[in-house]
Amino acid sequence: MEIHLKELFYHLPFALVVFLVLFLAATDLAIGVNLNALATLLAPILWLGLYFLGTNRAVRRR
Amino acid sequence: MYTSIIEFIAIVLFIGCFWHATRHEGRAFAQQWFVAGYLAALIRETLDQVMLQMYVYAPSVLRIGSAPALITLLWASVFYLAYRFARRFVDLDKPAPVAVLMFLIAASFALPIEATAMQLRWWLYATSVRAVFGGVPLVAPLVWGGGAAIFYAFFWRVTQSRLPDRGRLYALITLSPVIAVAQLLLAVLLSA
Repeated sequence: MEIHLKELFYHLPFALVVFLVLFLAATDLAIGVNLNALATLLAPILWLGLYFLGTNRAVRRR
Repeated sequence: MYTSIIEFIAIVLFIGCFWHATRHEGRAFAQQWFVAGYLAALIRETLDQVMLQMYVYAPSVLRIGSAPALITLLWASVFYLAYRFARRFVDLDKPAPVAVLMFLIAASFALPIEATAMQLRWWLYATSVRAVFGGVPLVAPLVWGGGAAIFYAFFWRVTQSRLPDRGRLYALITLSPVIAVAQLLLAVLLSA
């Protein structure tokens, strides 16, 4: 299957949120925060899950 | 403590979002969004640090005047990420649903940033009333969400005008103090 680089970069916002989650998780684990603070990472993870369920309406309309 | 972590995150998100906006929304859109977003954040932070001090930044934070120079990059970037996520679910010609969704998404993205900030004391809130998730004031993510919705409302209104691209940029730059004051008022109202 051919993967177009342009298509991959189209989803850069998704990758940036993944970067944010991973970087904050690594920071939290490194300093040994309590579970309450780690649980907040579930909020962006929820949107990461929903991202691919959503259809890109603006593009579809075009 | 370790404020360079959040400054690094802010720079990466800003560069990534700006590049993406330039490629997929157009250079004019990127200039308008990120120049206005950064200016509004810088003005709001300056007003807060000088007049209200609802939160205080760590001494090691790199600053322009009294406002953080790099951490303020986060606002326009998180707003853009929320915008890109929101447009997968709603039509862009209906601004109200986009703004509502941006409110929810920006608040969700900001929550772990605020939680880690409280643990590492990147910034500290003057009040800890209604604190959740290890000391984050409940209003903190709501201010991020509200800030995103307010910014989008102004941005959408200006982009609907008949001004040329350069005119829209100037209009948004001119309006950035108004956006900053509106966001600050929301923060004050929510904190009351």
